[in-house]
Amino acid sequence: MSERVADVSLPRRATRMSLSSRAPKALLWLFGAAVLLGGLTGVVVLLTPSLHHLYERQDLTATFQGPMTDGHLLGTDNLGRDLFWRSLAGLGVSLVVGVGVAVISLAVGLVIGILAGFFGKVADVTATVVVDVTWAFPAILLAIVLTGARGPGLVTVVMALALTSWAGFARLVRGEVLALREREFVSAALVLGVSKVRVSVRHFLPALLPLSLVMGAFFVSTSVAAEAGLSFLGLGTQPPTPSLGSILADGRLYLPVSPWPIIVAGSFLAATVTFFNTVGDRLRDTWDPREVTRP
Amino acid sequence: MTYVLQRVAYALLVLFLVSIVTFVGLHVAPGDVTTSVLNPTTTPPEVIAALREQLGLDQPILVQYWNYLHGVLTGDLGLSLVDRVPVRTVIANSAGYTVVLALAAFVVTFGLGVPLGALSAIRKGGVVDFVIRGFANLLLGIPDFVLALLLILVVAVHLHWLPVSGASSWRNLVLPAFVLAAEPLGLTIRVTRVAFLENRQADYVRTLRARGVSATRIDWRHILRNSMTAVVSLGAVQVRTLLGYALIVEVIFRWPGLGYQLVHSILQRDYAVTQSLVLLLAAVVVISSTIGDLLLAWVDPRIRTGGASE
Amino acid sequence: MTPTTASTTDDRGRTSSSVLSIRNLTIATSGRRSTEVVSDVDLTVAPGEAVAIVGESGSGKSVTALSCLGLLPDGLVVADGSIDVLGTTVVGARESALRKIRGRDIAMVFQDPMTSLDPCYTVESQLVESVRAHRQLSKAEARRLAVEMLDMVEIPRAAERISDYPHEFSGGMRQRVMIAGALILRPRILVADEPTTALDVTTQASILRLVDSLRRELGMAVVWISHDLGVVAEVADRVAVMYAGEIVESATTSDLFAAPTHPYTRGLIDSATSRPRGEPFGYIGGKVPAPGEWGRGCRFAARCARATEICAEHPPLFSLDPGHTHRCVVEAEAAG
Repeated sequence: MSERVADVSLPRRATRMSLSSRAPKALLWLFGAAVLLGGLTGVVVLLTPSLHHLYERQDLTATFQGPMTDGHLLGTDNLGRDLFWRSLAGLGVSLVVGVGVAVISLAVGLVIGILAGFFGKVADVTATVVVDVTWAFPAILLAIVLTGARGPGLVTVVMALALTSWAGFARLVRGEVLALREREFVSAALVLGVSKVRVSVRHFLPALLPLSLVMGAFFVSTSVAAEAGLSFLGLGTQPPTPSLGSILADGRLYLPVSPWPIIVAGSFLAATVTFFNTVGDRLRDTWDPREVTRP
Repeated sequence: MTYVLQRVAYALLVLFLVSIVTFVGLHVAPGDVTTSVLNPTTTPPEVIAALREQLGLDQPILVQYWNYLHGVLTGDLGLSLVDRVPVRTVIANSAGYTVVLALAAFVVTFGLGVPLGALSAIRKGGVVDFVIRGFANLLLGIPDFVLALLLILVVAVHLHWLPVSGASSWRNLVLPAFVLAAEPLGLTIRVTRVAFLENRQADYVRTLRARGVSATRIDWRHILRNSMTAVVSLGAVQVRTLLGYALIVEVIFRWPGLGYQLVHSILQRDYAVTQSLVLLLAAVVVISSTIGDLLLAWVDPRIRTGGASE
Repeated sequence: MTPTTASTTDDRGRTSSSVLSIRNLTIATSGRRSTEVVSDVDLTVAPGEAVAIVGESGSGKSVTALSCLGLLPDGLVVADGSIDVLGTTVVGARESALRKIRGRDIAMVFQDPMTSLDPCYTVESQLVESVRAHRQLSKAEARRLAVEMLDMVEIPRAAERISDYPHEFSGGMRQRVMIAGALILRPRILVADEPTTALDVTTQASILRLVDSLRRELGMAVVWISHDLGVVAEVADRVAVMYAGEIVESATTSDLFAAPTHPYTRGLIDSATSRPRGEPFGYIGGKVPAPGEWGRGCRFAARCARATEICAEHPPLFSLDPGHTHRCVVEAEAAG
């Protein structure tokens, strides 16, 4: 069976193909620095009450301003709030959600995947069924249901996204572990009486690091998009906490009046998603783990 | 044949477990169904109790699950407490819209994605390749609902080419279908291209060339079919993602499909509808990934003799 | 079709026209910093003749074989020389012209039968396709030819097995399918590139015998490409030994084994004929230099026990007897 599967699968090397991989490295760095710096600034602004006025202060005499007007770098929204600072704070929220989801998904996926691949037939069958059942619920579906049940909020969003996204990763980990356990150093360690848990920690985790980092980057990008989508529907981050999704939702209502909220928050979001996608693609090209697809 | 039976049996097992998870998951959720239709502070407790009894909520959870499962299998999904119509009617009224939207998106995804990916591979390094790759990356970088908003802004609000939302004519389908197809289309182009380029290096291609088979025939008959394994397995995965995004896209474009109904039912706390819709959508994911596996076995004959899927 | 007038002398001293003639063939990497991988190869194959090109991996033998069908991999080009297949000039020919001779005049069998057939189509589909690439036959007629050919390569129950997929055949059977596909249009030349290397020993022998008997039966010429002089000794009339991109010795098989002249050939024969365990091979220590590291002199000198200072100059091809040439200056001087 395993031979046949190996027979069927494609050659491993994915050709470098993203357009951005042609762009000079410096540009990617600059771009990444902007996204990360913006996100960090957003987190700082969110956590410092004395800075809240930056994105909270309303000015009903200056609503729907365009960029570069009256001290507002990127204009204002329907309540005259500064779009630049609101989007930056929203980006901070997005990154917190994205990193949170990525960390949880990676941890759960590694544990379940190693259990399935290395701890006997019963563990394997159980884990495979659990993965397939989990897989049946699209992330957004579960997120919507969960917010419906628990009420919306940051924690709910992270939980909902993490609860589903580990499943695909666990499948990949299982496949890698099945290959790794055939290696000499693993059988040698087992013969010497090293426990399976220890072998997993000492040998499997380091070997799975590249795959984990690649998937981590993709988890961040998909979660950032999903969080914004949920907030857009009113099921994610709740006001007054700013979020790219809710800026877009408000912007949509006033679309005929001013396109700027959508353009500004949309660009922040697209830039973040593209950045993490590119990082994932780059890492994958470097380490060449198995999958061409994304979570 | 055994392979088909194995796959179907496993899918049934997963579906059964999915139904349990859905049922239990929604029952441990705080807030009784009754509290969403009757205000607990103003309604006398006897009335609430009567409703609970009528809905069978006073029985042990196992019995409730049995009733529910029995209902699902016989097609009796209960009553929408908010709209006062059978859940079956709610689903029947909205499923068609989602199917049409999903089919349209699927046609765009594979109808455009596979030829574009193959073309990009055949013209590797040229202008056509560069443009197609740029297009794919663009589609992958913009989240669905942002793309939706931008398209609404440009195509609907400014140019007035297509309606903003609703479902009154086929013109309403164009924007949501394209938005829904965007990400899978970008991925399909990429995956087809990579698989195509890899297959071009394969030994069997050299054999075919050595026998005088024409390059066009090798590209479009042999390499494309061999590349399809990657595309089909991606397609099965994509159904899941597509369904998830369909929920958001339907809400944005006010397309009255299952996703629109689901969000509506959650915001209204209409549990009977929510439960059935969640089960239905999860079932679609399970069934489509099973079909994907079977399709894969059809495209690549080696899998058929290989026993259960990996 | 007029065969070219190029002529050669075969082992029985007769002169006959050739089906394949390679003249001064030089193959190099494309691009600005081009490196030669095959230098100045001459080879002529007469109708029905079995010629072997023998060499270690990296000697340029497979590339030479591929160039005869115009199938050089990306990155390699014919830098000089000419190839003539039954009157068609291969070097510089358009793809459409090449397509016409491939499979019809000259066919090829490759090393790995496991990956050389398209896994997605049945054997029937692939054989029928090979026929219909050249001849306007109905599918039924093409199928009849295919079954006939599978019978000929001794596949049991050919009429049933033809509808199987490649993965349903064993390695040896797959190679028979490959041979059937190559010979289905009865080409005048078959190039067999290490056709038995990927197979187990017993299967190897039966495939060799099969191809050799088909050669006699169909009257086609066979160019064997191999790293194994022992294998080639059984089936080839003539042997060309390649080392580092050039032919270092060429003779009839019997002459070559009776009087090997080039030190490299001697080394090969020593390692091909069984020697007592533990005794060193003597001549062939070290490894084949990679393209670009060949130097100006004799390319074997660095590994040769008999090398002297005259080996620093590149040796021309010396003629020993009619039909026996070699590239060793030391031997040439010794012979006077």
